[in-house]
Amino acid sequence: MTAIRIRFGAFAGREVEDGLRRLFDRRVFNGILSVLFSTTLVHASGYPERPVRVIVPFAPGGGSDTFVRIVQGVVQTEGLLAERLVVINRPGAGGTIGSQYARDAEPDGYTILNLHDGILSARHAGQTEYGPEAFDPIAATGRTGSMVCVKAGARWTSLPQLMEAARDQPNTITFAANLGALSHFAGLKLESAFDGAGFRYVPTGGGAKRFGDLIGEHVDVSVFAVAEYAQFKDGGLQAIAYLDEERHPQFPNVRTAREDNIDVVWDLIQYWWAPKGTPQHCVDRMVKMLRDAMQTAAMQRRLSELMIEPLFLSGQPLQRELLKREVVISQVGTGDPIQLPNTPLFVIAVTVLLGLVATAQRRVSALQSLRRIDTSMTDTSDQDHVFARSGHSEQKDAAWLQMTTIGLLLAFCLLFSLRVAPYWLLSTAFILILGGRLLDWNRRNMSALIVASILLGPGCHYLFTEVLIIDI
Amino acid sequence: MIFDVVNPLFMWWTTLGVVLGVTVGCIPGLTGAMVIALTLPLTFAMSPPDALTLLVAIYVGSVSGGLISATLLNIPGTPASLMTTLDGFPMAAGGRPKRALTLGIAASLAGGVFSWGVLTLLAAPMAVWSTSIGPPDMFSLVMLALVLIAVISRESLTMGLLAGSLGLLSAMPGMHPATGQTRLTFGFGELNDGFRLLPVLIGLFAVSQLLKDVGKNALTQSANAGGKLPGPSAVPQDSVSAAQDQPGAADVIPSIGEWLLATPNLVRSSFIGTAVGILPGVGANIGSILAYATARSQSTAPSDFGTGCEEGIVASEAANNATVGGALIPLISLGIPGSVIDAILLGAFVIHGLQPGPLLFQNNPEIVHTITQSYLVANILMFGFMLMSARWLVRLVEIPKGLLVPVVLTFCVLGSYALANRMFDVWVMVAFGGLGLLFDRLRIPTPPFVIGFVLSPIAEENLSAALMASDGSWWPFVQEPVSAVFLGISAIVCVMSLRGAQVSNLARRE
Repeated sequence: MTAIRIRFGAFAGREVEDGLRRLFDRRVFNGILSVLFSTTLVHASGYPERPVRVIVPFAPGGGSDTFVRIVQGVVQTEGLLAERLVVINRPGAGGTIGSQYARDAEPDGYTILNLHDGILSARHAGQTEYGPEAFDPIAATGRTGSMVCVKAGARWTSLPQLMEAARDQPNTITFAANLGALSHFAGLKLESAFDGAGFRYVPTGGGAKRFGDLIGEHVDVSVFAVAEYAQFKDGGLQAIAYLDEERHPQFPNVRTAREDNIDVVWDLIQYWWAPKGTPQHCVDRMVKMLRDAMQTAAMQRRLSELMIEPLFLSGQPLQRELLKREVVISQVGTGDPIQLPNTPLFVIAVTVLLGLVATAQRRVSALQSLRRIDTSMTDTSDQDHVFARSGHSEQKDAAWLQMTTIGLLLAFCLLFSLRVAPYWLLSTAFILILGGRLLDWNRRNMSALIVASILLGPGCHYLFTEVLIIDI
Repeated sequence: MIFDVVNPLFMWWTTLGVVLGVTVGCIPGLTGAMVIALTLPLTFAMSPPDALTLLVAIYVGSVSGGLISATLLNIPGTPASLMTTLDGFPMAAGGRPKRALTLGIAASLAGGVFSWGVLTLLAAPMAVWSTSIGPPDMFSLVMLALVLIAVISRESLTMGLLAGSLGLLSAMPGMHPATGQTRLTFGFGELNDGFRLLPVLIGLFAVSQLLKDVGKNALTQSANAGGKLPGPSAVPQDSVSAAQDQPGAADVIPSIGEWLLATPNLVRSSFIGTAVGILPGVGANIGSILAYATARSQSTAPSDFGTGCEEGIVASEAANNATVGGALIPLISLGIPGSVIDAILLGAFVIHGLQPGPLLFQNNPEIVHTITQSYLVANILMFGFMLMSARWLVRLVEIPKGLLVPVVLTFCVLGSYALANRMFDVWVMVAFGGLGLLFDRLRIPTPPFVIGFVLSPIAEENLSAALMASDGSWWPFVQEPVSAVFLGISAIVCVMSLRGAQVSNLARRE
């Protein structure tokens, strides 16, 4: 097993090297292109000429979002960039939805991505096909260490005690983790550093959920970021080890794992990425902006509040760090495959079964009512027929209107997705055309419709782009 | 304590939040979670107490505002007012829209004030209790909620269960909630995150309702006055547009005697709402479902439920407002979010440099006071604002459908898009709009579908967590006392409803 792991690690390392070489070649190619076509447009006028979008692949209010918005605020108040930074949240699927979007974005320097070490673990856990090589790395800013924690008053008061227990009775100590994410790999890394130790992983969500499970004694141990530990400490959380090279200055009583000869360093770095092929001068400009931002007093103060170490890496040191981390994570096994019930299959089976029962019941009741109609209905049926016929044309009109509405809605969405025209123009036209058709172009209502369309089209456009920052 | 109430800035933020929340809540397709998430960045420049005051007020307003569109349009403005549509709409359609609204608004206030009392008095002990709910207990609670929603749907038990399992099925594609592995995406990257709740809900309730209305030819008042197809979901245009209850209907404002009669229901529903709110991950929707089902089972006339029953409106609205206060308890005292909106509020705490937890009570008592006060004041302002503006908001229905349909449709598109800035969610919304039309034609009820859809990830996550913690053993589900009780109740409810169906079938045959 270990041999396989090592070989896999070497393979991953080579893959990254290849990636870096390809990256370099592409830069040269881009350089030649820019000389050939002398893209003075890009070079002469200063980049950026319009707002730069920062893709945050997590929901507003989370750790990454908070960090990026602090940077955004500092850049704006200190005037570190001629244009604004616009934060766009594209959350979902553990950050892979947003990273996929940024990877496929136009490499013009106006779309960049912020994503932490999750970019490495997502590929290793099989959630994405790509890793850092799919991007041009800009910089690493900010680093957080992690704490191994148990509930206060638990059986284990030190990491060696815990690890020995995990070795003596493997697969009994429950470890709360976000499976496939960094908390899970932290546990696997601990196992690999202590021969024979094995945890039983229990899938949980984010830090708050893990804390709740620890306090409620549903799990035994978990890993928390330092800021999370500080937040939950007084709720009954106890740190037994800090996974870093040195003790944390704010928690000098917590021993590092290395002091106990368990060689695990587990931390989280925030990286900034540009889509592959972004012009070098744009990347350089972003590096300068981020370096300047990290050096401001305001940034330093906010970072110390959030217990983030003000690390800054770019260029070669950043490449080396990424390579090192890729190797570290690829050496960690993904754990045993988990035997869980195949829920999709079960749900499909139940749905099909219920569908058959429902169809059967319908058939039976339809037959019964038919029989009833046969016996009871005689002369009243003629009247019904006349009534139905009179309403027929109106019904047809209504069905036609419904089809028109669906058609116009589909056309609106299609044109919007193709960006053939600005959003305000499209929505104004959509409201006017659909409303006009539904109102039969009645003049009295048309004036109200025109007012509504003009208010809502440009009005919503302004509200959502300027105030609420939606990317339309 | 009194200081904040006379502080003009505090009152300004609370009022702004309530007005914004109620307005957004009654617009289908815009939910509280969305507007709070979108408002959060705007609060960065504000002081922490101001920011939290504004956000809590929006939360209260948005949970309450949903009842207006639920009652008058049969479209739950937010998922929390899903159950209000069952009785609020038939009552409004039956010619008593004002009475239905007044009942809902007053019940909302009662639920809010009740849970405020619990919040201020019992925050610490209640939060300690909530952490003892483990994965097997959560899974069994979800099963109970699923059985309840299937039982109370208006169609047959089979159709209710079918709709629920279709909802479960729709939540399957995307990431496994526990292991993070993607499944049923058919290699389609945008599906990695599955179908998101917001576009599904907007599609099923807003888009398909609008399309149904268009298809029913009830576009202008003149067309409506002519030949129209009667149907349970036709908008009561004539009665509502007048904004007056039909003569001969019961008094608009319920009398004191009527309130006294409703008190047990109010207290019970508020209690259920508060208790459910404290549980992590279970939001206002389930609170109102449980309260509604309980009120129905306790009622002397359970068959009235779903046909415009006053008790139904009171139970649903008291409970969904009470969940807000309940959910604030673990949020403030332990830093654990009880629902999606609370998760965003937790982010707001951290952004503003505050650490929710027992220390918050010691280090920043003024923040705890501000939150509890703004919660109470927001509830009172919500009551006043909704009573005053409901008459005005009713005029939303007076607007010709031809004007309303395109405007709301653009909101649906924009709202779905704004969720994650991607077109995929818009197409999902459109597709589920079509599915809603199909459901209507096949007479498959939508509420169990939505509940199944919402609960599926919670159920699967807790099922996986329980099984992995027990190393594959199913025993904890019946051995853990809390879980066993929930499962027992589910089984009893199932058996009783089957027996009930048999009895009514027999009665029909005779």
